[in-house]
Amino acid sequence: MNFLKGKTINLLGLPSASQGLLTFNRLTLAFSGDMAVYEKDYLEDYFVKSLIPFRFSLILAMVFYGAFAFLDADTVPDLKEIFWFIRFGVVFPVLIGVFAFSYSRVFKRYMQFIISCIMFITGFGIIIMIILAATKENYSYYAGLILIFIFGYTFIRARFIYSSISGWLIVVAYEISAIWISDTPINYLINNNYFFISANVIGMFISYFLELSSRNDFYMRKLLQLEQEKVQIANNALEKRVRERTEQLTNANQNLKKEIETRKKYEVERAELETQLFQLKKMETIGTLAGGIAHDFNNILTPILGYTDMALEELPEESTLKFDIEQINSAATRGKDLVQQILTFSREVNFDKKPIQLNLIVVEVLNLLKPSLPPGIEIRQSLEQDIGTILADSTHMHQIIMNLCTNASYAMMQSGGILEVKLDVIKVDNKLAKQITNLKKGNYIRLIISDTGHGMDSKTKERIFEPFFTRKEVGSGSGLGLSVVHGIVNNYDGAITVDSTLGKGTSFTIYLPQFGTSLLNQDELNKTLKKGHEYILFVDDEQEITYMGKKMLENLGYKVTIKSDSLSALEEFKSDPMKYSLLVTDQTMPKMFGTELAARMKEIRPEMKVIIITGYIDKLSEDLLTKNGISEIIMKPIVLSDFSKVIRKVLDEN
Amino acid sequence: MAKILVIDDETSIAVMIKKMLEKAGHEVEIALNGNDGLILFNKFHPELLITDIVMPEKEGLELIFELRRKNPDLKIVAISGGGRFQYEGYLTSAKHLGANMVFQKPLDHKEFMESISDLLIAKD
Repeated sequence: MNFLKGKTINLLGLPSASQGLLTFNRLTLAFSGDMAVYEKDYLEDYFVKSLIPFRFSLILAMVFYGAFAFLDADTVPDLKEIFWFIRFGVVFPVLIGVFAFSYSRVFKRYMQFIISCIMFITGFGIIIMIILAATKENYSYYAGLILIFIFGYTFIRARFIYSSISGWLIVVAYEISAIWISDTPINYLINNNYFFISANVIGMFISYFLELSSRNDFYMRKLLQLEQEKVQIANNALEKRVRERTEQLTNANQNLKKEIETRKKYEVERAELETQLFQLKKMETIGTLAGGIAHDFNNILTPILGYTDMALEELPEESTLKFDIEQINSAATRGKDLVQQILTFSREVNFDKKPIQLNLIVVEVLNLLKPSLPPGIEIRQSLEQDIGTILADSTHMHQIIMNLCTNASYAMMQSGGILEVKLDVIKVDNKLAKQITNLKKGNYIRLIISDTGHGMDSKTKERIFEPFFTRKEVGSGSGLGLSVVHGIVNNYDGAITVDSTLGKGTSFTIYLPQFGTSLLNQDELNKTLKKGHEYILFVDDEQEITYMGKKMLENLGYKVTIKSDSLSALEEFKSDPMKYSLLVTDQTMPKMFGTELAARMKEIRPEMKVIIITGYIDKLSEDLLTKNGISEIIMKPIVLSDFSKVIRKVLDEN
Repeated sequence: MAKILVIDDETSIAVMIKKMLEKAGHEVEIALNGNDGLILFNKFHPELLITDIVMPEKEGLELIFELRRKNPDLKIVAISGGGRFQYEGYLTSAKHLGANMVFQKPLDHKEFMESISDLLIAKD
């Protein structure tokens, strides 16, 4: 039955209560079921869409309602005043009042009710005209109701239920008026009802379908909106994913770039370390090779020097061979010195390490160097006093400083310049330690020797510490000096760097681990220096050392005579044996050793005191010293404070 | 006038030192390695041993150590070219092991002869 009912309704073209997903009340057309939540939205939407058409329809209603006033004058001239009062005195003010009220904020709440009231009022006005016109046997005013239905069911935007109620109220009111009040003849009544009621029913259907259509349209729009919202949500979600993914990719890209940069940096560092390692290995290999060669060379040089020494002893002075053999001996001696440098470079040297004050050695070397410097070279020194000590062999330090200063002066030989020596303490941090090979975190004494000479290009700078590498002319240097310096510094766990600009100058920086920080200040140092006023005879075959010795001793208050030849020293002593309280002599001198000189002097004056200065303590046994009456031995290079103490001690001995 | 044993694997050096010492009036025998040197030492009974350090078969340091233990009065002089690979001086080691004197090659003839002469005189 329900199935048939549904079919019957559909065949008639009537909508079912559920049009697809659109569910509504068949009578009121209000949304029901799942759609019920949208009823309020629909009413709001219907109001917004209806408001302007509604106002237009009010104006149109006033036009037509007013226009029929001419009909009143023509068809019922006796009643026109009353009819015009209804039209213009009642209906028109209502319509105008509603028009004005339509602009109020509360109009929305009462709109449908007001529309249905308008429909009824305008319809009732016509009904009164029908009643009054019937007294003049005019039964045509019912047609006005049809116009009311047309307006009420279509133009004026009344919803179906409201317009239907108003419509049937008008029908009832007409029937009452037509049947009981105006006593309309039956044939007119039937005729009028046919048209009049048909118009109402048709109007109802029109209103029904208009509202249904409007609801359907709203539903479609709602569906569309919902779909659009879904699409928007999906879009937003997609955009968000895309954004997130893009961000992820961007971050990954940046991380990748950073990683690439870090890797590149590591590659560069690795390459630098590899270069440094290669350089170190190269130097080590060269060192080992050089050490081996040096050993063999020593064995070759030994008989050459030995036999030439013996031959020179045996040959008479006037022998023509003497000069030739002296040349051989001299050349072999130079070879011996070169071998010594090679051995130093290849770490074959015994280190006599002790705490030393580097600033004192710097002063000694500069004093030695000054007389031999060409004019035009100025020496500047900036030596911090309170730098502590380093644990080193003073001979090596002497060698290093002398080597670097000599190189610096060589670089400025042509055009002069400034040789600058700086000495200070530096605290090496991790950053600096990483930059310089062999350097660790800690305190270092830093020695900088720089010149304003011709400088060197980068290729030369790279090879400057290689043994036998030299830019000097043949005969001006073996090229071993800096490799020796490098080897010595490395053995003290120090480091050496070079900085140079072609045409501007070069600077060598040496870092040596600080051993002790406590240091005598200058005043205390002065207090530790032992002084005196005695006469001292200072003998050394190297003139620079005699000058240095004289200066040192005179600074201590002594009176000094210097000789650079042992025989002339002996003659000087013989001229006035009682003059001198002390002989300070080098050991290894031509013609006569220091020990022999001492022995000869003691033959003349037994109580003569003697100090030997030497670089080769191994050669001097205690017995030898005792036999020749040597009081003390001082190792080269001479350190002032030690020197002053030893001299004073010897002079004060009985 | 003393009996001196010279041990050096370099023949030219051993012969040269022998000649130098014989010129000074000493009696000199030479050996070219540590083992031969030991055998000759027991036959020759020298007062002074002059030995190289880096030698095949028996090193000078080992020789010095052995002979010093058995012959406390023996005078020992060590000579060396500096060694190849050791960073500690051979000569210092020789002193620690009992050498009276040490010399670095190449020898300074005058200094060497004077020192030998002083060494031989010293405990006379």
